[in-house]
Parts: sequence; C-alpha cells; structure tokens
Amino acid sequence: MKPAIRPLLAAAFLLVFTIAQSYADETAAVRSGYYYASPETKAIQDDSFANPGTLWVEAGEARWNQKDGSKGKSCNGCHDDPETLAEAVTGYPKYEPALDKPLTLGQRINRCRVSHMDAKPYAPESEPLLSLEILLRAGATGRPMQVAIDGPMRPTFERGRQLYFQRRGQFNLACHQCHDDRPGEFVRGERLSEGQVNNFPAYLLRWSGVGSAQRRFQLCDAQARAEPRAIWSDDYVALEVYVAHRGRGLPIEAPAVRR
Amino acid sequence: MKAIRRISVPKKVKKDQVFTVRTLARHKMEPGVRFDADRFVVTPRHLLQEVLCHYNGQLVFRAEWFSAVSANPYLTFKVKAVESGEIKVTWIDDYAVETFAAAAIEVIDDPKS
Repeated sequence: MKPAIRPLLAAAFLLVFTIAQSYADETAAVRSGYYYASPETKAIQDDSFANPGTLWVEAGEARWNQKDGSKGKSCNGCHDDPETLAEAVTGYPKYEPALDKPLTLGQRINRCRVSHMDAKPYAPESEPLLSLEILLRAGATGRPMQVAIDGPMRPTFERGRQLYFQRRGQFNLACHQCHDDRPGEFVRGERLSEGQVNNFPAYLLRWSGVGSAQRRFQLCDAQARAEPRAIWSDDYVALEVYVAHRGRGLPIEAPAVRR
Repeated sequence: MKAIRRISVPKKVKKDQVFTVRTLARHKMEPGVRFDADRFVVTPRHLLQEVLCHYNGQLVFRAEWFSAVSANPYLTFKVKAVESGEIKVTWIDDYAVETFAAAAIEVIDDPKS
C-alpha cells in the first residue's frame, strides 16, 4: 500500500464510523414512555397482579370468547388465540383496500364485527372495544412496531407529519416542540415523554381507566388549548400513523400504566 | 361491566408466620359529587363501602372505605398463619351487593424448623 493512500483510507474509515455511530445514536434515542415514567408508576406496571390494566385484559379475554351478532360467532371462532394475531397487530394503523383508508386497531375490530359477525360496532373509547384492543396488544407484547407508510399510506403519513409539526392552540405549540425537542424535561409537574404510542391503549392513572392513543392526543390538544379533534377523525388517524412510524422498532408494551 | 375481583396469597407458609394478602378490585368508585354536564345530573354515588377478610370463617380484617379511595382499589394487609384453609375477601358496595374472591393456603406445622 502506498503511504499516500493510508491517511485517505483512515479518513474514509473514520467518516463511515462517524455516520454509523450517529445513526446508532438516533435509533437509540427512541424510547418508550416507560423510560420517562416515575419509579412509582413503573412499579405498578411491572407488578402483574397490581397492574390495573390487566383487569381490562381479563375483561377482553371474556369478550374474545363471547358469541355476538346474528351469525353467532365469537372472535375466538375465527382467530383462535389473540397471540396468533400478534404479527398483524404490530402493523396498525394499517391500510384497508376495501375502504381506501387506513384503520386503527379499534376500527379494524369494529369492521370485523360488522362484516364477519354481523354484530353492532362498538362506540369509540367504549369499554368492550378497549378491552379487546388491549388484549390484542398484550398478545403482541415485545414485538417491534412496524407501520407501513409506502404506497397508498403515503398521503396519510404526510398529513400526519404535517400535523405533528403544525403549531396550534392558544399556546401556539406543535407536537415536536415538546416531544422531539424536550423529552425528559418538565412542563409544570409533568415530565415530557417522546410521545410514543407503543404502549397504547394504556391505563392512565388520571383517567382511572384505559384509553386509546387518540384520546391521549385529545388531552395533548386540550393542554395546548387547541380544539381537540374527534376520535377516529382522518386527522387523528393520520397523526397516529406518523407517530407509530416515528417510533418504529419500539417493542409493544401492554398493558402499560402511565400517569 | 363484569365484576372482577382478585386475591393473591402465598401457597405455603409456616405456622405463626405473618403473610401478605393482596387484593385488587375493578370498580369505578364514583364519589357521588361529580356533576355530569351532558345529562345535567350529579352522578350517583357508587362505592365499595366495606371490605371483610375471613380466614376459615373467622373475621380477621375489616376496612371501611369512603369517597377518597381510588378507582380499581388495590389493598394489601397482613395475616398471621394459624391453620390450612381458605382466605376469603368480601367487598360490599353501597347497594349492599356482595362480591368476593377466595384463595387456599397451606400452613406447614413443622416442629423441627
């Protein structure tokens, strides 16, 4: 090897190493809300007996096996155990070709009920729907989130990204100002997280119950003194798609406990 | 909403050992002072008022609960092991509806240890 090339090679190696390093840092920075939760909240989540979210999972199990609708079918009749759907659950919100729009997990459960069970759809944020949702998410615990954003999902994803960086409300805040720029810092008594949705639907201590990611979005909007949008509105679904893709690779965590 | 009540005790304990009974109940614990703006009424009070623990039929623990107890209340307390048998915890709400959870416990009476 010519001596002249040697420093050049070293420089090239260093460059590649630096890029690899910075990329590794970027992926390492994606953290579940668990990381930012207080030790007391973590203790409740880690104790499978005391974790109140497991009450909803238990209720979901009962509902999973319960026959409903005019066809006399239950979820269990087609799907066996909730764990068999674990891989599919990691991909929600997912594109539904028949409706030409993405559906959240809750909307997908309702679609299943209407088209396959001939049963009434559940209301958004209703107890039975959240129980089933958290049951499915619990079955997929530990698997990385992987939301597809290519093809027909692209416009939704772009809309979600636009919403994420759009300032709104009387406080003139955008999502990224808290959740990208200041995770770990305090907003009054609240410790900011990265706003990941890998743990939703989660048991929130302030609600004394389980709520979906979109209900949490509504709370975020209200705290920024912006007009909250409706659950399952196109905007919130788009935002959920963006936020889920932003936290891709994070393991699903259910039933989670947050403040 | 179906009533879910949970209880956990150690499977085996030595005689005279003090062990922990852990319980979790699913309940809204509505205090009866909240105004529902949509229906223009005060949401009626609905609380678990009393918790009783029977060890082989004998009352060993009792608690009275009021409106400050959280939703989905988690309660633990200590009981001294006397003999093998059943630990039964009963929750009574303010409509006098009783719900319960029970668990078996085995007490080892070993004079050597």
